[in-house]
Amino acid sequence: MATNGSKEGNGGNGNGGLILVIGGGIAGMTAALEAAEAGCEVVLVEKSAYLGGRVARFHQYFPKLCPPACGVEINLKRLKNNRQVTILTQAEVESLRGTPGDYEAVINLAPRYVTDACTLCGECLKVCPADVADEFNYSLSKTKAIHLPHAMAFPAKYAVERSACPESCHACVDVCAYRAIDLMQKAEKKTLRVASVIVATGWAPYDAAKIENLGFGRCANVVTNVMVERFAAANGPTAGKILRPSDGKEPRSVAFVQCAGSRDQNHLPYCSAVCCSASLKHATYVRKLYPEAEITIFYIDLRTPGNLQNFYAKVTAENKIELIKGKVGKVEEDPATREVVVTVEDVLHGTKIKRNYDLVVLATGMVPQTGGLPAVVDLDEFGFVNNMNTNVNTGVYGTGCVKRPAEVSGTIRDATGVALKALQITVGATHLGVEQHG
Amino acid sequence: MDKRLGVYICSGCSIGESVDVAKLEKIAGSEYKAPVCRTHPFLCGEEGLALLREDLQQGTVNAVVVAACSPRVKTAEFRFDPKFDTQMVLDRVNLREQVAWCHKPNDEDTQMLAEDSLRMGIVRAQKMEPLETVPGEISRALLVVGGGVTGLSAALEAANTGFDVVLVEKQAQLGGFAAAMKKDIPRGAPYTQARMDGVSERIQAVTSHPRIKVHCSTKIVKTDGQPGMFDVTLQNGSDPFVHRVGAIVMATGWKPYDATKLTALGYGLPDVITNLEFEEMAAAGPIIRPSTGQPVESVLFVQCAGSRDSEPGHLPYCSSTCCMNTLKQTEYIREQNSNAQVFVIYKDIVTPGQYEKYYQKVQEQPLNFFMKGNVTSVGKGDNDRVVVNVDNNLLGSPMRIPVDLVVLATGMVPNSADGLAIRTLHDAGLKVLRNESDEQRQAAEKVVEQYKHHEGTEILNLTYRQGPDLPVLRDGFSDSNFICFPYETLRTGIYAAGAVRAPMDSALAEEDACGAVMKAIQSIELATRGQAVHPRAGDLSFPSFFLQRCTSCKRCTEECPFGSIDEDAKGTPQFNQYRCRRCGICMGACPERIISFKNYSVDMIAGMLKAIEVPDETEDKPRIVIFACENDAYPAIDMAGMRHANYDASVRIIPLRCLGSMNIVWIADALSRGIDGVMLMGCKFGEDYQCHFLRGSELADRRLVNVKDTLNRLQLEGDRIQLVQLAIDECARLPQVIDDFVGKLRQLGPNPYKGF
Amino acid sequence: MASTLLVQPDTKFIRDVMQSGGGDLKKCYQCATCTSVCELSTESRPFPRKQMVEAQWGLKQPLMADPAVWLCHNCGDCTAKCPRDARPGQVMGAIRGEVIKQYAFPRFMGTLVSSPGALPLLLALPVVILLAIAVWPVHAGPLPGWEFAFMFPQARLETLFFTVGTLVGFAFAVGAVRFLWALRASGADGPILPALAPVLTEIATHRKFSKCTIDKNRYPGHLLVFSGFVGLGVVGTVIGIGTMLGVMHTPLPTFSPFKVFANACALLAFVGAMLLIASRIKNREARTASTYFDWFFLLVLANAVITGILSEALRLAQNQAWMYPVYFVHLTMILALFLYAPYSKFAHLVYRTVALAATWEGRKPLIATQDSGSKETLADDRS
Repeated sequence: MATNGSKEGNGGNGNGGLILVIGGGIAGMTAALEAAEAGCEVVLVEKSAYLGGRVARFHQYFPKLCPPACGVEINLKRLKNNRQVTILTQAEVESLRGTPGDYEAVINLAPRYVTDACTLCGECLKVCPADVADEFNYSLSKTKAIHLPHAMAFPAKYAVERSACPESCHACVDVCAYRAIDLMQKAEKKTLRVASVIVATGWAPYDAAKIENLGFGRCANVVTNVMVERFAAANGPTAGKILRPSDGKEPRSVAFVQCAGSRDQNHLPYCSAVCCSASLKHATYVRKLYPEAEITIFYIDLRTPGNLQNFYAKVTAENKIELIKGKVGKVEEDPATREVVVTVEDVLHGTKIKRNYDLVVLATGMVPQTGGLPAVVDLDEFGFVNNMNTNVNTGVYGTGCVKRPAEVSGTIRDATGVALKALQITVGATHLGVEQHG
Repeated sequence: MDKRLGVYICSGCSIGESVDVAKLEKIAGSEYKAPVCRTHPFLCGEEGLALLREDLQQGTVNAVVVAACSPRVKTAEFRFDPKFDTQMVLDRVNLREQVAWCHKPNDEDTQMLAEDSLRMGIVRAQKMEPLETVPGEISRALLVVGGGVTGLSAALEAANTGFDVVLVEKQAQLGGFAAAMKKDIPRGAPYTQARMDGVSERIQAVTSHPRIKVHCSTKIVKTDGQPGMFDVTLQNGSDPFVHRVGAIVMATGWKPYDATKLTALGYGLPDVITNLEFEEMAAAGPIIRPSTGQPVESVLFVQCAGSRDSEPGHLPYCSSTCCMNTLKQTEYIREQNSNAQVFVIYKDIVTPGQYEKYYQKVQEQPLNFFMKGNVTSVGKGDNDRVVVNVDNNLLGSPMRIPVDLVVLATGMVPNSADGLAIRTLHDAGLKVLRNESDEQRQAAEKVVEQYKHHEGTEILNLTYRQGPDLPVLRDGFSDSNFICFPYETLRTGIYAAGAVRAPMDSALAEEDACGAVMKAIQSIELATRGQAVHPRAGDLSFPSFFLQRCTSCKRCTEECPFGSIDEDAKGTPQFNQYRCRRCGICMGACPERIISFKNYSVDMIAGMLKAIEVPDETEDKPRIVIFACENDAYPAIDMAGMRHANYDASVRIIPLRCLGSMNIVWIADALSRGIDGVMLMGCKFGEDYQCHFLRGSELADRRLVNVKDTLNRLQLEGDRIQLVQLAIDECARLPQVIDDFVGKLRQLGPNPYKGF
Repeated sequence: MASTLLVQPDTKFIRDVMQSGGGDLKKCYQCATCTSVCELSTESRPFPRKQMVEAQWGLKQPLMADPAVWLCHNCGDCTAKCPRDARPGQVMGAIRGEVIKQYAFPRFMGTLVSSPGALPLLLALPVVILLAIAVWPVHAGPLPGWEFAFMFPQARLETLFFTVGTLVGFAFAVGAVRFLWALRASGADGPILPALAPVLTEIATHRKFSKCTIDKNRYPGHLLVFSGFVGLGVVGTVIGIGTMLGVMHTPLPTFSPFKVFANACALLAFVGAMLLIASRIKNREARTASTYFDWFFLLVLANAVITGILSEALRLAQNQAWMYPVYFVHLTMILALFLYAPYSKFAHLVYRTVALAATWEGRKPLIATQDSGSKETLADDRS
């Protein structure tokens, strides 16, 4: 493994069998590792300053309710021990030209302002005067302009949010005993010859403010599902407590509003596939913290395919959770109590109900992140990468949630398979063996 | 290898400020006679590394101890030229995250902790041997079991990656269920057109591919060997023949749920059929009422027939494919008769992702009727139509729907074989024959009764001590327990794919085939390099057995999670290197301590324990050893350090590959040397276990039972030993856990064996 | 126990609804967003989600007797929020049309009025009648003076309109009674007569319309047209009676209070009609692709108003060439409005009144039988 700036790891000079992986989330990491462990040279390009993407910000995975850090740690260990992978963070692909088996990729590397010399000693953090919103916590908390994205972040190096630095401030530079900070660092370009490309740019949560009838932004105590992950996480803004944003009180009642934006012609016409299981999972977070809390899930169809059905059964059997068929159409705030008033029809009992909740969680959906992708990437009508209709094999493959909304294990399953597709291109014509590339 | 020890101490990152580095140097120099011992304020910097590299170049050192930050960071910096790999050993002592950052600076206890840590590190380095690749005769061919859509894809993908493939199908022809389908669901953009599934083309491609050998109507008689060198004995007709392959993809697919259990839903009536029967009818010709032979005017689909139902005998899971299939099948009817009425009664329509588009499209047909509800009964109605009663529906009143034909959307059941169950059955069978005592025989007979239905279900017929097939996870699926590692397998080199792994449609099955082939190829590549596969990918070490002292107790063969160790007739372990995942559980299991790795052994840890200085009871300085799982617990302890959390400095942390590799002799050693307590930190176990080696922490927990006996023998309190299940994200809780344990030990008072 | 529903979808009904504005009916996937965003749908009588599934399934009978269909004022809030673009507001409108057709007396009139093909015929009828009763002066030259009475003598007109009025009234009565029976059968047992007063005030004040959030123009528009016409109706009748008794003589002097009032009403109706037409054109996408059923009523109504105002203007302008033809058209429109009231959208005035009255006090969570039905299923859940 090698990272920005370090000598190690070839930039694809080798056998031309280089695989370019765009996106360092769980899908990209997996694809890169699986290919590398089969003997390929891989360059992994990540837009942000650390690997792990969305899963790094999850508290637990469904259906096992285990911490994502556990698998990420193993993958990082695999990366550290693997000389075949070059990792470029704060990097984006500017252009991709060529033909399957021989692409030229131009990569823009934004400056991190912190070099490999960084030891994580943390002295800079103590002196940095500038606060910035903590993107890792979906801006629910603040951090410093110079910061480690999160405790287990990899590459294990601080990074500077330069735009937040006060004019001519160099407090961090002065305090760093290891001369690891270089505020003069400039952006660079890297040009690589790659055989195939794996697009794993992932997803972003749908902007809940666009669903104006669901009250996000209008009502203090309406939050989104991704925010709940941070609240529940021990390293999150509330150190693992799920609280009412308006007053920091423990909620006595929590409602989950499914399909917040998904399956909706006015927003996301497709189903985001994971929100049902996610909300069931979030219900277990709430139940663990507040054994007495009243929990309701409002749904259209509860979609827990495959084994997730067992999770659905288990969660509903072990926790008192009220499931109501009916989509919430209206969300208002009771100005006196700051409680959230939801209006919905209990479809199976044919009654229209108005209920007050301390906290309402919008199960917002997934939006594929395809901005700035090279033109050779084909998108379907929803904006997901479409591998299917390419009769000619472009050697460019989408995987993970940029290809279809999917849960983590499905994403990893697919990323592993796509790594094989990329591998086939690198071994060139279909009848050569990998041994000829070792 | 004769060791030339070099100790390199970093005084940076406030290590220098909180411990007396000079004293550490002295220990290295005087106690361990390290010829080279250097201190640098920035060891991972260019200058610091230069020192190290030079000494290596000169050959003045070949056993390097880096006492600095956690081995989890700065890995690239402290990795040296590959040419040294076989000539040196490296150990890293965690003076930063686990000493300087979480204990009182310049405090006697902190200093003692630092010194013990260094001692343990030096001993570890001394007891390590460099690793080299042991080359083996690795076959680069793949065996694909099953010729359905998954198997066909697997064979093609592997062949197109340049690997030879042997494809085995027990039926007379390839294609599986996919071949029986009229059309396939619209798996790709624009997600509105059911498509011809192209199975016949795929079969053509497979049979004509120069790298693929197809054997139909063929069974696997026996699978010998290990990854890289499986010898698979096949048989079609009379004489068996053998193929050598490097890895196996098991794509044995699914069988339809037994609809005869659905009499409540009218199965058995002439005009009530399953979705598969419907598909075959549609593929063959017009869709008719079996009872009259007349084309249908109205059809009703019952979704989740026997699925998503916790009643015994039914399928608790969702088969994932039935909703899309039903949508597709309604189109068959529409094509045949634009005025036909088509009803779909569902619990929840499951069309995730872009599939929603197809639901939308089919829904818009004026004469398609969708209704959420419970089908309470299906029976005969007037003028011999079928009447379906639907309750708890969207109308609020029970419905009675008379139709020509009812289609039950039944789910898929995996075509798997439960290796462990079959093995249990066989063992019990033998017990019955041995008939040692009445109650033994009766107990065994009970087991036989319970497992009888596994008789003859074998698929791979592995000659593994631990059973002839892949273990299954739940509901009969040969799935992985790991969300992060869906292809994690308990039989290295054998990977399940498609509907036998989890319920999935053909689109996912094809992707799954790619994934499984990828892992299969990988296991071959890694075997070729003598390396372990995930999770210790790249590890060159493997256990060696000093068989002269083996008592054939079979613990290792029993406890290896990966079935790496077989037994010969006398019960002597037969180790299979390429099945091994290097977790060390066998090492932990062995009471004779005859199993060890070049860089990880009972002797090494015992040595480290010895290296710990134990103050005598007068000093009120308890010593506690923490055996920490290096995958989850150790990082958690590091994280506590990152947060500068403070915990008792009397603990000495020893990372283990897996808690399962903990040999109880260490506990005995520790306590007999006057260590006051031992804490085991491992992953959560139980149904949703997080242990990366399946049962490691659980096994350690079981071994503690024996330990308690040892303690009683030593007249020691059992409380001196505690196992903690700790997830990697529980660093916040960790200091409390440690301090509580130390507190308890202070109450118990010092270990009476101190000073002996 | 809930009465079990024997399901035999009325496919013609489905097609009719889909053709008369409910074209997106089948897109509904029963999320019930519509019900929760609807300001008019009540806790005990939620709509339009249930009406959507009944329409999808061609369950005509329950819909024909469902008061909820008439509680909807088609404001379009549900349509705007519908995640599937199923346009519930439109579907409800189409269903109302079907109800009017269903209870029309005589039945064939219902079908006739709702079918575009019959438009010429429908217009021809009043024309013929009017031509029949018009005076055709034998002597050449202009009519003496500037009174419409020269062409349509009061007596004849009065007789015509009072007869038509009676017929229409009767047709309405029959329709209303048929509807009421159906409502009663379905469990809506509100006391009609006592309820009339509150209901009519509610209707007069347009309280419900004011709740509409999506389309702000409909409230004033509908209110103006409504009050304008009520006004004209009243003053028209008064004047009619007055002239028959000979206490009045038309044309009334321009500043007679009656005249002024009538003109004012006409003006209100005119402005209102314009607002409604505008909102329909503006909202064609957002809310409603307006149907023939809507337009027929709205245009006849608008024309009646416009030609009414015009003919008065021309009369005052003493424009002989134009005043008579325009007045003729005016009468045609008025007559059409009268003749077809029970079958055109105009009828919603009566049906809504009946529905509101029938459910005034006797509101139940659901139509009785089905209410117990859902309780039944609740019990099932628990067991």
